[in-house]
Amino acid sequence: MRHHAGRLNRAWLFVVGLVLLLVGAAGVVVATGQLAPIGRSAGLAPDSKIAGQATASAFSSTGVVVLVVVVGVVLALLGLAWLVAQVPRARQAHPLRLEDDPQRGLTRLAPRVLTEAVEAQIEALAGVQSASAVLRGDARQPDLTVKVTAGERTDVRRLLDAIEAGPVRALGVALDTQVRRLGVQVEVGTARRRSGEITV
Amino acid sequence: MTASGSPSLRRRPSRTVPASIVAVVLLAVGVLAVVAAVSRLVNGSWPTQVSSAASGVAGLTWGSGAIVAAAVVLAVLGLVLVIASLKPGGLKSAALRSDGAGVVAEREYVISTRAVARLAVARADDVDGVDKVSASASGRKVQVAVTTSSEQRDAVRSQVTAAVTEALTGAGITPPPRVSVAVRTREI
Repeated sequence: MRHHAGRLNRAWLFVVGLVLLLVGAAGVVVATGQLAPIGRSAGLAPDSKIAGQATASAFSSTGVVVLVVVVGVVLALLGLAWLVAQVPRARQAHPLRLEDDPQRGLTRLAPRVLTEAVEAQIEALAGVQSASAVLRGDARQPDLTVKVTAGERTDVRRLLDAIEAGPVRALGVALDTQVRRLGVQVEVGTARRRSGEITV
Repeated sequence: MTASGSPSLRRRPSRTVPASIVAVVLLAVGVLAVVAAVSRLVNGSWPTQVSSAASGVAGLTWGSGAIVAAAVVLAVLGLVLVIASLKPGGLKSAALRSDGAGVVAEREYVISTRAVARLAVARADDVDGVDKVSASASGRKVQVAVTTSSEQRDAVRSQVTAAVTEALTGAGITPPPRVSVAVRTREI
């Protein structure tokens, strides 16, 4: 019902995973001496120190320290942006503009007004515990997505037909158009309804 | 995704948990690097924690056990992330069939696998002889675990299987999931 960062996550997980895999594999190759014949001169033999005097002096130069700051800022911003992207987004439609002739005035309608009405009508249907709706698209081609939580004994097919024939039809009438796409996600609530039950 | 930007309701796992963990690690590494480097620029020396850790690592040889272990851990971690990124993962919902009322041009109806399991539990719980029931569902399979005090184990199993299958088919789940029922007898 909401947008998730699935593609972004998979792409960056692949990139980070590949980098770690290559670094780890390179470390194993060097540590086991596979690279010793050609790497000894570069200090990449199993008995060579990880960092020599040259590395220590490099980290004392201001240029390298500034580079560490820049790399740190880039890493932190990337991590923060990736973290923020995890928040699911509804991406509801912008206010709908309803007009025949803009010269005679313009009616702007917040999608939330319509979705609240749809939610209320769905929640009034038999067997429904709760409902939430998101309207996307525009006034001529509305696209409605609904999440409805039904009771355990609800007839799901009948409920779907009732949603389409009632609230969704009413939405189309209100906008004077046909709803282009309807998506319904059905959940089943755990609250058992005890009304109408007797124990003998 | 549809033309108007609506995401499909039948989606695969978006790998939020590993992505969040890696993002937090990146953020932490970045912040620590900036703090340490800024401290070096201001005070003229690296913080004690950084310099002592760096000299400890620098004193190791490539062939030392710690380096081999660290390299293996990095490689395994990388492999796990690559697999997580490439493996599609199971669908979290099943499609629902409905003829509809003909007032929309296009429709997509789904039911979550959790809801399928709850429907199965509710229907199985109505079968005579069932004391306790639990269920789990994946895209195409529903597993029901029943506890009964009845001696008619096979009868309970077939009744529960029939009842759950009928309920899920009646709900319009397409394709109908395969229902398997495990019955455990409880001593009275």
